[in-house]
Amino acid sequence: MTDLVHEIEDLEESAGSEYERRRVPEKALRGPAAFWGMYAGEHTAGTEFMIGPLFVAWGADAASLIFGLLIGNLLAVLTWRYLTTVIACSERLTLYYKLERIAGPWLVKLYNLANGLLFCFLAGAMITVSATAVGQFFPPGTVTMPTFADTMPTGPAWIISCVAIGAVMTLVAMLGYGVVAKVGHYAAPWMFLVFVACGLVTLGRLGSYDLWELLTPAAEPADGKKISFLGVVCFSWFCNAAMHLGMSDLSVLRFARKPAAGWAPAAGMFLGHYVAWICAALLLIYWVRVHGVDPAQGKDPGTMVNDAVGWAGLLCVVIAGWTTANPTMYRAGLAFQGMIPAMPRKAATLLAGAVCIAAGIFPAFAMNLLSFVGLYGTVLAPVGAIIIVDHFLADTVGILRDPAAQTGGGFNWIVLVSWLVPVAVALWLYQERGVFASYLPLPAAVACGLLYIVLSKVAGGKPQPAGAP
Amino acid sequence: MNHDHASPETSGRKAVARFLGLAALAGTIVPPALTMTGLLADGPMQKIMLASAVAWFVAAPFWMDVD
Repeated sequence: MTDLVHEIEDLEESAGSEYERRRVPEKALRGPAAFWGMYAGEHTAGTEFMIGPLFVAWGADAASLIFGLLIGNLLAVLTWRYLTTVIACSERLTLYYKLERIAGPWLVKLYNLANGLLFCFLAGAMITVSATAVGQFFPPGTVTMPTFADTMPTGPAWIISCVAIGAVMTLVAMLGYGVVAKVGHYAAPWMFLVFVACGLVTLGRLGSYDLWELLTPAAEPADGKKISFLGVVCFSWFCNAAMHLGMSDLSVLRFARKPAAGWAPAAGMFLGHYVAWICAALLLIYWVRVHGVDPAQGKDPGTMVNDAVGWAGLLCVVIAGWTTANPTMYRAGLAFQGMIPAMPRKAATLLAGAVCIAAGIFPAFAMNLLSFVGLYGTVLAPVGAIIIVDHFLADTVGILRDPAAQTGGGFNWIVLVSWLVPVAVALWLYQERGVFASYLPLPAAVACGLLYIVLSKVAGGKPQPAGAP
Repeated sequence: MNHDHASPETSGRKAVARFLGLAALAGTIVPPALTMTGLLADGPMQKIMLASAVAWFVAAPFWMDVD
């Protein structure tokens, strides 16, 4: 019997299944080192070149950028450490399989659709950022660069740039992104230093090392759109809400030997989402102070980085965009394939690539990244709250754990209602009341968790999947 | 178990790659620091950074172990 189990395990491994539908076995567990490198690389992305300047455009002050980011990133790391990794090391299942056990396979398809589309928009923003770098290699004026105010394509040359970059990314993602993952791994330490180099050169040009003074905006944003200290804290806490609170990183951290691996995201948060963001913010501060650029209009990352550190910087923008867009595109393809299992992976990735390119052509996603990532977390984080309730509270409050798996249900309506109602309310608050998107993931997730408990209790303490006999 | 019996040739190549990689990382961060303090002009700084970028991507695959 033991030999048979081992044979099945070996077959699964050789088929590259990566334990998608069972617990990760002891022999596949990894020490913390693997996770520190992965998180450091993944969170030093091309979009970091957008987020720093967007803070400047939104009038973030010095206290917000220095202390707000510190607090928000710390809260993000603690969420990863004490929620995501604890569940990952206990259950050792992917998010998809855990969700299937709670909500049934049909609801996982709906989650895949939401996840896949949001992944595509995120990868599209990365294509936009890369296109601003590629445009620098052509004579001035050939490619009209978008500003923060642009939502539509800036012209035919811009569209061609985005399509060309997106097509290459899609092709590589279709072939499998192993090579790109390696390039991303190699590039991570170098990319981080390029961010720091941009900051150093800019400090020299500004003729001051007084970071507090430099990060203090000269005037309030003209359009009144200002991000507060709490806004910066919540943005940095929840910009990866889908990964930590939303439990998407269960798929990665289930391989962690001990929950201490949950500290590894600190590498990504404090290098990529703290140092790199502040360095990128300094780039726009220089253009505002020295070249008189309107902070609300901003300046494209390609132009700013090329001006500061030259072609090495452009290479960094392209590689940072490429190495993070490709896995995102690949994951989007997998999500679409999860919806339609008959669709070949390459076809699913091609579909995802087409959506990514369409999104990348429109600068709206990249230029509204501060709002987009908040909405991304708002839609996906509540699903994590259901997993948190199932893992930590189900026995205490007297509801069934893994209800769909236990009853054989295909579609758990309690999960659907608990997920969609808070998300709908949150999106209404964003759209109609103008609430900053990063304030919404936490209340939406808490409301979702509470609703799940209440509805499960109302249904008799045991959720009744609609597909159950 | 992973028994890593690196040959002297492999170890030597890795040592060279490590040296080149560290030099490339230094070439990425030291010139901008010198530019910041006014000791190096923009032009040479940008050229050294580009050369260091090329050197890094040549050295890194031989230096960094990737699963």
